[in-house]
Amino acid sequence: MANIVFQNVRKCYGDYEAIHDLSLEIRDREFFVILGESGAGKTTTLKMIAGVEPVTSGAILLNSRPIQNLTPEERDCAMVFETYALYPHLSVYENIAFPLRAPRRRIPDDQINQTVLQVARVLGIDPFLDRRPAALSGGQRQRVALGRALVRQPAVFLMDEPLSHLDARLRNEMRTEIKAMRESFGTTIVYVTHDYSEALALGDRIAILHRGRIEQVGTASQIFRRPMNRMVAESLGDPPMNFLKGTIALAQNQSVFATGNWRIPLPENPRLRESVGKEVCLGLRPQHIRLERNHPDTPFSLPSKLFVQELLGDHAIASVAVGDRLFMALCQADQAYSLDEPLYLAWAPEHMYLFLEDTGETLLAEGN
Amino acid sequence: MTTSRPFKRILKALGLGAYFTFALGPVIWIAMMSLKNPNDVIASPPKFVFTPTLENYKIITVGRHAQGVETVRPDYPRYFLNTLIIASATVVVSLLLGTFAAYSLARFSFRFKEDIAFTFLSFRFAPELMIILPLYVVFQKTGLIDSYSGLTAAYQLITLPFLIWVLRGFFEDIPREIEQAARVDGYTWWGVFHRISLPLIKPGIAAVVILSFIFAWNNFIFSMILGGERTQTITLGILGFIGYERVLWGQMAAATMICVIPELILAFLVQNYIIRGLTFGAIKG
Repeated sequence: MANIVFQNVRKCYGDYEAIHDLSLEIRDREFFVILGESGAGKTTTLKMIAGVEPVTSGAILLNSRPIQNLTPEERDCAMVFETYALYPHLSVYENIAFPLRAPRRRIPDDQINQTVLQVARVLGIDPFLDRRPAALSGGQRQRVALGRALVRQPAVFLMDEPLSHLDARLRNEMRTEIKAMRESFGTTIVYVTHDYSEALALGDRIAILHRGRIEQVGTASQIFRRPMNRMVAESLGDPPMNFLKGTIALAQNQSVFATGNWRIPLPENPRLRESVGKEVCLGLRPQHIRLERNHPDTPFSLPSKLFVQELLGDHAIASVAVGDRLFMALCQADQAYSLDEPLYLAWAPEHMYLFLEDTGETLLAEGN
Repeated sequence: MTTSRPFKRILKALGLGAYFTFALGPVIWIAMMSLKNPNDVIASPPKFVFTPTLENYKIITVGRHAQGVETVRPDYPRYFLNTLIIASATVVVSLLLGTFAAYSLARFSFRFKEDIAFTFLSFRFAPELMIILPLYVVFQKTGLIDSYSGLTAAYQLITLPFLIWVLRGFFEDIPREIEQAARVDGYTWWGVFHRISLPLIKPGIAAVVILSFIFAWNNFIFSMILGGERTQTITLGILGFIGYERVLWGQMAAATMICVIPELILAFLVQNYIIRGLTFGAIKG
């Protein structure tokens, strides 16, 4: 049972404000992901919940009780550090048992033993319980760090990039494992990552943190399909969304996106009407773009030339030049184009995004 | 390359030999001296072949007896014990005070932190002779002259700054996140300190214990001026073998040899802990 509320939390390091006025609610039993680039303040946010970084101002409530002035050991959080932070002088077994041995918990030894072995088995680290952390690989250390958190039943799990140093196969395995464990624990989890696919795969809700500010909070499909601004749209998706500058104009009493000689009709929408004449950015996701050799019979298209094509196994990424901009589009692996071949980009109207150039605010999102 | 190898080896052997002679020569000389009878000691040219005797050791440890009567009563065991008490107390007090001071300077931020740290260090700048006179006056007035506690306190001037600065560096090397992790795992500040931080700086503690002990054990000037009959230490005791009309070279050498033993034992006991890189593997590399 744990819900966490941030009320106008600020965090400063000297003159540098790392977190600006953060207000946020993390619900009970929620898998909450904080997504952001490095330096966005993700780890700081986690550490403020854990109590190892003091809050400069504002309040953090755990089950409606302010906790910002409690010591870490009074808060009942378990945390996986990005740097692992294992205890180098203790064996793997003792590292995992360490939280259970805390005098305040008074857990009998045989019960500790049972719990440690069980967790070690789940994480596949039981063969090297006697080793010191120095004798483990990065992936093994990360699993020990996970084990040290999972061995307890805390009110909140805090995970700081717990999968970032695993290789791709193990990462997918552990991701599934975390998701499954989460179902059985039913504990609130706050999970920090810079990997958008991890965020989308795991999170019930996702917060996009950018330079110490929350840009948007929502479910995976909300933030992916209906980003509040260009920053959010840009941070989700690989390859990232393509952008093209232009203006909103009126043509035959209909609002259009105008760039160069090209006019792309926009859906009827009062907000777009109001924005006529404004500088905007058209956004298209690579997976929504079709490449056509002949002019497609749709106004939702742009002419381009092939620049590079990269084969990635079952599909390929084509980089095409639209004016002076490079666009990326996903295409079939067997579809080979030649260099400088003229191609048309085409897309369905509901896949268009439009952002204001100056503020980045979203004018038009998927599904319109 | 291959032709120069034997040449290099010879050069290396010569260099090592020179260093060996320089470093251990005096020790060997003293060791030999301690086993000679008075005539052999002053023989010129020096004798390298002689009949070794343990007489010198016997005189300074158990004394000399003639027809069942004690003719020489040795003071040396008392000096030895005095030094052992004072040096050990010095190390213990330094460790108790210094470890916490070092941790505070490494981890907490407070006003004038660097100034305080520098002040500790500055105790070592001043030559002992400069401090000793005012200290003598203070000790005289407070009755600390010729007391174990007084000497232990005075010795802190030598060992404490050194210990604080070395251990501060060791504490700073512990990644902060390890301590944070232990707090989150449910331990109080004290719990983290003695279960995580202290074990991690064991090599540092071993090093400062040995060196502080040697500094205290070998100190001469403090013990000469602030000590007295009751607390006389071994360094002064050895000086006592230089008398008005003769120098007891053989006994002096024996006393010196015995004097080195505790330092050697301590060094052997503690050297296992001096392993570098104990923190390796805590944080991803």
